[in-house]
Amino acid sequence: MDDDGQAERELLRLIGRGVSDSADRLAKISRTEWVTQTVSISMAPLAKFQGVLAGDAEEHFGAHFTLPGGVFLVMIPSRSGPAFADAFLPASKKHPEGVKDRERSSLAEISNIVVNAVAAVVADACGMALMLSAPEVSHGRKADLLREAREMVSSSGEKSVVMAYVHMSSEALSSDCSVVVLMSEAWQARLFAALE
Amino acid sequence: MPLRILIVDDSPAARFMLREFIEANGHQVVAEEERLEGALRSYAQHKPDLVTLDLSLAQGDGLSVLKALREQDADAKVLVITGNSQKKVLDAVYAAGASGFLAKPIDFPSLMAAIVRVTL
Repeated sequence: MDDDGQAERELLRLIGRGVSDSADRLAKISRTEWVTQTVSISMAPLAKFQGVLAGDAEEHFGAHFTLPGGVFLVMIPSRSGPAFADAFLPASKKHPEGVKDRERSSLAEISNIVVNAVAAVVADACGMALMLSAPEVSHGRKADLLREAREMVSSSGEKSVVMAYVHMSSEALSSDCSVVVLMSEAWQARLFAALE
Repeated sequence: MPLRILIVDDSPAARFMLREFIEANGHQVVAEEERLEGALRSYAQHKPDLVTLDLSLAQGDGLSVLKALREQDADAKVLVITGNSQKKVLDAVYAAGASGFLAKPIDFPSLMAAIVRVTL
């Protein structure tokens, strides 16, 4: 039990470090400062996460990145789409039609960069390679996007997961970015074994 | 002499950014592709000086594209530009014959330096 507690703390520390890298990458992309407000981790049956994030009714852009035994989810308020696209592709501002699905594509690419920062820190510490899928993009409230992520994990037969939740914000952009990592028990066990 | 470059990335935003940079620096983008089949076809057709390749593609994976390009042409110069900077992935990329590697978000001075370095 103590070993698992120590491994869990180490995983939380690694995710925190990955999030710091994510915030640096977001800052580079958006040319504004990002602050990490929340980093939390918990383990429970999948169903227990049903009501999580239900209090946030705002529409969000969601990018799901899957891998065997887990899902990474990035959520950005949909209202921030234009600001992110302008920051990411300033050369396209005058002719936005020159980029197919400019906002969606920009948010997907930004999400890819953000989530890989977290994945890299965890993967390197564990001596593993985590090959994330290309993003599956959708829109919805945070609770709905999280439900989609839970369904992706449960479709592979998982009953319990570890959920890490990270929330970052930018005052200059009046926006925020949340990252959720859902890990199956098997994947979590592999990470914990590698961290011991 | 302007370089002729093939971009392989399934993100329209990433392709736009790369194209803007490449053309602003006097080089030519011969084609943009999103998947393996198109990448191989365009490579055979245009015989570019350089391929820029993302590892995360919606159809297939970038590592397979890299291996297939190198199989098609053992002298193919492929610069991997990707959000995935994991050490084991980096090892696999170089083992598969990549000429260089850059992590996203793209730092344009580093991109120019990498293009010059791999095409020398």
